Amino acid sequence: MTRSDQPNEPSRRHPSPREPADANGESRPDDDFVSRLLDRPPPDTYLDAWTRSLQRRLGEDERGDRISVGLFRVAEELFAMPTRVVLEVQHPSPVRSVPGRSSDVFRGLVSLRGEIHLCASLRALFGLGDEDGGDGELRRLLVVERAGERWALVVDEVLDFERYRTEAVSSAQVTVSKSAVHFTEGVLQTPSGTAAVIDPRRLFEGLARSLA
Amino acid sequence: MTPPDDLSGFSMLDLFQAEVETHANTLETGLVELESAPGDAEILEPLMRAAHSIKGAARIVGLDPVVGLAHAMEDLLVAGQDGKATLGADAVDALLAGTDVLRQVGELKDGETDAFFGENQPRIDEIIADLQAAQSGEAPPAPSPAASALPERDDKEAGDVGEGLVPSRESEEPSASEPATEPEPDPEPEPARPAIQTAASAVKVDPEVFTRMLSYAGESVVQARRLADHTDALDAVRRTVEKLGVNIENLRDKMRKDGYELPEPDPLEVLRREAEDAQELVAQRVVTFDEAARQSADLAGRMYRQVLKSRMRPFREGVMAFPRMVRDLARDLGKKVRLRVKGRGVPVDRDILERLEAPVNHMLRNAIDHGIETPDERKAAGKDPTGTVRLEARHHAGMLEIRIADDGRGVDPEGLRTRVVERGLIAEDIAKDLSDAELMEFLFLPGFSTAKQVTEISGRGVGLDVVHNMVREAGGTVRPRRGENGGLEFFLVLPITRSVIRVAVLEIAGEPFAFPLTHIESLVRVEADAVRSIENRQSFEHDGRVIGLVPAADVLGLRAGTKPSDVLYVVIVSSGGNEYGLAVDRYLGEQSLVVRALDRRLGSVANVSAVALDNHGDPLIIVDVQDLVHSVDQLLHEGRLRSIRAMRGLRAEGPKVRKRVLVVDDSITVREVERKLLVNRGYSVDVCVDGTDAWNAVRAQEYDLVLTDVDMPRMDGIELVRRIRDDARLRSTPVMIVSYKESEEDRMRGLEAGANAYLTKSSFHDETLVREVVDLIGEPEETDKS
Repeated sequence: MTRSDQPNEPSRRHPSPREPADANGESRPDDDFVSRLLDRPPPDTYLDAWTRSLQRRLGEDERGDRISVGLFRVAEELFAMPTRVVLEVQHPSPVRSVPGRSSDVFRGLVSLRGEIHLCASLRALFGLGDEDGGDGELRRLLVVERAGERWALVVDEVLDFERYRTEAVSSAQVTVSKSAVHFTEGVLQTPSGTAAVIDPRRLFEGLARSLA
Repeated sequence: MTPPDDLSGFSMLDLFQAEVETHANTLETGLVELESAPGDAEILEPLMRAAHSIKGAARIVGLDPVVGLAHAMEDLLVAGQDGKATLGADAVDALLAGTDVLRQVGELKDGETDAFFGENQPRIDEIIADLQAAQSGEAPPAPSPAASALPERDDKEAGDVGEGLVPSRESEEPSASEPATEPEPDPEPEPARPAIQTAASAVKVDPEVFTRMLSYAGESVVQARRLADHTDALDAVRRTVEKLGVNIENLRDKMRKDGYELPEPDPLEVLRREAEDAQELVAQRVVTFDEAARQSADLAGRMYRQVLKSRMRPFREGVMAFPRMVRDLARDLGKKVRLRVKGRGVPVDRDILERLEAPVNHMLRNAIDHGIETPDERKAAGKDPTGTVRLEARHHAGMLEIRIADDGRGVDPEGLRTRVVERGLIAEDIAKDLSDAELMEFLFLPGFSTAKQVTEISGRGVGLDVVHNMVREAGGTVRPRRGENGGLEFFLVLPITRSVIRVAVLEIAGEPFAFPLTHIESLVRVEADAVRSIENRQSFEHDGRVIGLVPAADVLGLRAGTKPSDVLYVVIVSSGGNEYGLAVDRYLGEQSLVVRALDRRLGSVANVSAVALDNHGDPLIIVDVQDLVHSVDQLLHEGRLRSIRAMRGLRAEGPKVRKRVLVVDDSITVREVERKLLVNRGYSVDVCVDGTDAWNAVRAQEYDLVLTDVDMPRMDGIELVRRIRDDARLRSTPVMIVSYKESEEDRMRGLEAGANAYLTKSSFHDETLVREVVDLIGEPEETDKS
């Protein structure tokens, strides 16, 4: 089934869409296996009934390999974050500076549900201006995790989580700012516009450098 | 064979190992006790059950060698219980050796089992043979049949694998296996063998899961508190609806009075009733909601406290390994030692408990190695041949106190005195006057105690400086002293927990920061007019002291928008005798915080000790005050700024004259340290041993500074300061008090008497003392004094 029926606007405490481990072997962040441990597998008839009820013929543009990304906006630019690294989307919460460490990129510490995360500004990392500009109402924290490291990233808007055909990704030179090029691995044509696809490995390396 | 693996993510081996660890603890604790009470059925019973349980569990996971070993152990214990075998030291040795193997099995990782048993089967067979030999009452075969079958193995090798194996010398010394006599009953009123019963009651929790639990519990308290706001909001709705009803009624009354004809049924009456119903409905909701909110807050609070409490572990868990260690070490040394542990149930934060283990272990070893004499020596001295080492824990005044005392030969003060002089630490005539307590302090001097000769003379002191450092890192202190029975005693004082602290929350550069209350001197409001500016450095007067003023935001490297203000909020901090006033934006309040470690990716951050969540659930940085003071020092040095202390007493001197300082202290150690520090800096120094001595000296000779202790025989420091201040000629002589007493009252007492500065003796450890002196009276050689 497609993800197109997902609500567009992520709500506070909105859980991330779950995907199985992808081909790169990056396992999905998985912190509530306990609750799944208690789940009973649904009867086959139940699954069949729902499958029949929801099934439909795939449209021409829905076939083939897909990638799942979360679309988000930083300043005026559109980006796509591979869903596999996204833990959740949160409303912004006060960021506390760490003396001697906080910078334009590494903003400081933020608490989400009592857990303290490192918080970074993608505007600063991507060289897209100061944090103060932009529309505060839509601003969100995109919580990402890779290899056990978590970051809460300040973005200006989270639009949607969607699957796209892999053909929609082209390696064409990204049109975004020069600094952001380091962190992207291609562009994706979406109904909302052209988005630069984030390369999680390079993104996390860039974030780690901001702590030095 | 490999145990069946992976059952819902838990391997059977994991479960087995967790069980083995519990039982191994039971066995080890019980076996050591058994040695002093062989055949005690009450001790034997749980041991037998432990061995039996391991046997059963091992069978399930298919670890046949473990089945065999546990079986032999169980057999021997049953025989002991039935009185068919006497479980003397050799039997206990064999059982302990078996326990060691079990413990090792308990620590194997998946896939290591085959290799382990392949390698250790001969040793296991040997232990089984020993167990069987002990059961049949035979003397342990020496060499045992198993050992002779494997000639390449020797005792040393065995010792490397499991340190509990029998030291060979013991068979030559049968007296060591006699049960130790118990001349005095254990004063501990707790149940006879608590360690056995409670070993199984602890649950292992992944530290990360625990941290998360603490986070959620803390957050749920914050969320529950937020519900109270909704109660208030709902109540406001109720009042509005109530007002609506009243207004409708008033309107109707007015219309009636004014002669309006109202149709039937009266629409205003209908409205009024509806408003009344609505009000009733909301009022009910307010009550139930309020109740729910309070219950939720109560529950969240309870949960939070319990999660916090789960950090606390009984003292016994930190000392579990000691009885065994004491026993093994004593046997190795051919000594007889009993360990008495008191206060096993005293709750201690697991973090502190962990930090305790190494230093306590070290001191116990020291006591057995150097303190307790051999049985012969003890007999000759008219003592019980079995030495006693006491390990006692208790809570006192919010701190954890631990006493480690032995009844051994103690420290010979004369030997120590000689050594101190020989090593050139102090002059001989001075050494004569040292009190025992002062001499003892030398044991903690780094390097001092590691010299071999010292060990021979004093019988003590190997690596005590390491102990000292470890205890200090845990936030505690350690003091040696002479025990009541001539032995040596160490007294440790540690915080009960380091996970909850009380802080003042201060706003700096628009953000809140937490300062631990224990590390701040005071918080004061300073009127802008009261701030003095000298050489571009600000200062203000507080309690008779002039305190340098530094913007906190600058020290923390924060970008602060300077707001002009008539009032400054200043937090006074001090460390190592340095004192500064840090100007902050605002004082936000006091609260208790649960301390959490900073994200490891940040590494160690200057001026920051930890992080916590505030009342709103947002992060709050906890400032490392000592580090902060250090940073201020550095900033001042780098900026080539000198802290200006507008103290009185700078007198005109001729050029190129060395300034003279009089050092007054009854402790030779302190006197010498102070003298050396000042002489090295270039001052000319005289010393006096007490107030009377000093009073005579200051009248005979002119001094630029008097540096005095408080507690001294004949005339104390306070009296000395008063006399100097009362004397017309001496009145302007600067006086500095250097005392062990660190409390605010003591400080006040000193300053009220007229001292210009009050330092604590910790100021020796860095340049504080010297710097203070320079600040107060200037450089030693005043070359150009106009």
